Amino acid sequence: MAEMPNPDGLANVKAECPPENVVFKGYKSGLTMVIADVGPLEGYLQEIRSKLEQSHDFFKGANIIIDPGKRILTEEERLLLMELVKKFGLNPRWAEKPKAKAVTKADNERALLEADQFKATITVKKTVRSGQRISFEGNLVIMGDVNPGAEVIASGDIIVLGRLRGTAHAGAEGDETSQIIAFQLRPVQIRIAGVITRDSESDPKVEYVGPEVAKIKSGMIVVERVNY
Amino acid sequence: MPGKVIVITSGKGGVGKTTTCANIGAGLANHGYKTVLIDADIGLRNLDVVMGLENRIVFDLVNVVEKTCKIRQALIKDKRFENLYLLPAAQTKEKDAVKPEQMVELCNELRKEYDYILIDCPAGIEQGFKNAVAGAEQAIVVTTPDVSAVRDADRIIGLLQAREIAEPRLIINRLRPEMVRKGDMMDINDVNDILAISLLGIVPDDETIITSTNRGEPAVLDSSSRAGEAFRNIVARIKGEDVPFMSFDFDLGFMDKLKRFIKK
Repeated sequence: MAEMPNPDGLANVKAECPPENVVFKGYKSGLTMVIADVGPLEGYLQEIRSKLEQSHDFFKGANIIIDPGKRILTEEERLLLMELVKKFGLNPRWAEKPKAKAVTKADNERALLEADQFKATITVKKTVRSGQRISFEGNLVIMGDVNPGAEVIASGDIIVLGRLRGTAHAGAEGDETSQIIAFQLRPVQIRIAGVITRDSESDPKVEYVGPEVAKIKSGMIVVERVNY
Repeated sequence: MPGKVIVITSGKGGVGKTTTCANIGAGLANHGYKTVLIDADIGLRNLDVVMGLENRIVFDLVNVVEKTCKIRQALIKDKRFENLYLLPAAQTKEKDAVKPEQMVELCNELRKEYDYILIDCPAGIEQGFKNAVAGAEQAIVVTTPDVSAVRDADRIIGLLQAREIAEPRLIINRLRPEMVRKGDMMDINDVNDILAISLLGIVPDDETIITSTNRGEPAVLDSSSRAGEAFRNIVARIKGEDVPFMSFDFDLGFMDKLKRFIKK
């Protein structure tokens, strides 16, 4: 089959969500509030307040882990955060962190810069089946298929050395440069950062077989043949 | 040699687990193996009905694990085969009346005396499933060639692999060759493509199965039944024989191929 892959094979839906600096996540260890590494904390405090207000009593009484990421908080800021979260009836504690030596501001910035350039990567050597979910902070390489009903989520890129037929979310923490690459890209749904696109429901299907990449171009997810 | 414990499971209900279990059991017994069928579907027992043994139940699985009776007392001997036994499920109890550890113990006990122990797993992925797979060392996943059954089978395979049960094998049940031919049904390749586990057998949709199930006589004994033949092949493969798959006249004509192509 010689036809070109239809770039509109995936219908684009721009998700309505502003950049989020404070995100609530459910990890194995429990409900976690993740605060963006960079930017002014004052503004984020406001965001936390409004989010907790919106949630009404949903979180009340819940244990919550506060994860300030790589940000180094002063004693004052820590106290402020704790008080704020407690006010909404939650039981906060701090995320466990590898003990760092005294960190200077310059160290901190350099670390952040490096972290941006070199994301951790894991490989998963199996087929991800329906109902299974793999999420990782960094890049994710799946050596196998991702079947319908399965979910793979990464804060960086997702590479599937097989068929991607489930749901994939790259740049889950907002990195719009993240990409999703698969030997065969037939996902139910793709998300990159805050943009969502779903499989085209119109027949006939594009039956191009070969590696393809999904990425954000001018605010939309586009799918192209891999050509590096 | 200790016996093998094989769980027959599917995730989705109504794809033919119980019928498969009864037929494989009867087939193995027909080859002279001492076989026990355990109905793990507590509260919704069916296997006894399919085997035509309903009226002989005195004790059941729950009685055995609670040790209110001996295993031997609860086992019901089949009407046709000396060496085929059924351990029926309790109809009036809940699924959590049995614990996985108790199933492991029961399977270990039965292994000593019988060649094959087949467990008929309830639909779903909850307690009943966990009980049924607890004592098993092998698994057979039954699916029909439709999207929802395959999806559920995929889920089950994932759960089985997490439990380190030996690579589960697949039975595709109720295949309708003429529908596949028209492109209205998933074919074997479509199913294999997603599940990617070794295929133990393909059972064609066959009306004789319905009548034999209702009569309580497994189709595997009926030499004129296509489904029965498929089950005989499956039994042979379980024994370790290399049997070619039945042909379903899948050769597509040119026009059919064109139609399928356009449909895609």
